[in-house]
Amino acid sequence: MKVTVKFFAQLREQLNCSETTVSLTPPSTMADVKAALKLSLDNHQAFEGPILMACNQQVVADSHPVNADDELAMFPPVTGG
Amino acid sequence: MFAEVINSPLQPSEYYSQLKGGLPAGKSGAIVTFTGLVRDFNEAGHIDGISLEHYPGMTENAMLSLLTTAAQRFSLVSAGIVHRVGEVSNFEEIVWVGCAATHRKAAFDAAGYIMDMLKQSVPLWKKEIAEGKATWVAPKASDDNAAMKWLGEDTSPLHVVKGER
Repeated sequence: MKVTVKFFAQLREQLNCSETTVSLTPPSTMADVKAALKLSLDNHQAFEGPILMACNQQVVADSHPVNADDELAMFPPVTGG
Repeated sequence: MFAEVINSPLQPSEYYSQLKGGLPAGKSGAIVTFTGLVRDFNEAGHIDGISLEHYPGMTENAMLSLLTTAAQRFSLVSAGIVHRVGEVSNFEEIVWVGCAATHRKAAFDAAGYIMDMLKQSVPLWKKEIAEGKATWVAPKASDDNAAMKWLGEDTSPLHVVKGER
């Protein structure tokens, strides 16, 4: 299956990419998504720092299962307010 | 309750009227509002302004979720958050929070809670601009501690969520 991942803030700038699509073999988790992104994107060091992951607009852990139609996103810790 | 993200100057008096105008008759004895302004300095010295990025959809939903949690925890009658994004000049308003409750303590406490948790749980990212250079702001330990203070109390519904992460 193919999933699309959005990137925000520093991570978007470091990857020079606001969203990308990766292929996964189900069943997959967010950890699989991150591993696939490290392989497919040039600047994989961007994933070494603290990164939050969201599935369908909820922050989730590495073990969270992923389906093809999920809305996925990764971003650094937030700094609003 | 209302949660909005806008990229034009905030209008705090309008949000106050919106909050007050939406209250049911007879339940509210207190409205506390907080307005955050852009400071013209950081730890390193003067800055010329900031810019803010958000995650359209998730940011609004996270703010609404925060309002719902705060309303349950503090028995609020109503509440609202409006957050600015994009380029923001020094001394301009960046965030507005309003809380309506039957008594003042709940409204004061809820406003503090919402601001502490907003800095931890709502997808917004700040960049400071100084000498023509933009630098992403790192999360502050003091903000972490402010949120942890609330999470440490057993009555918080977020206590469970945090344990799962």
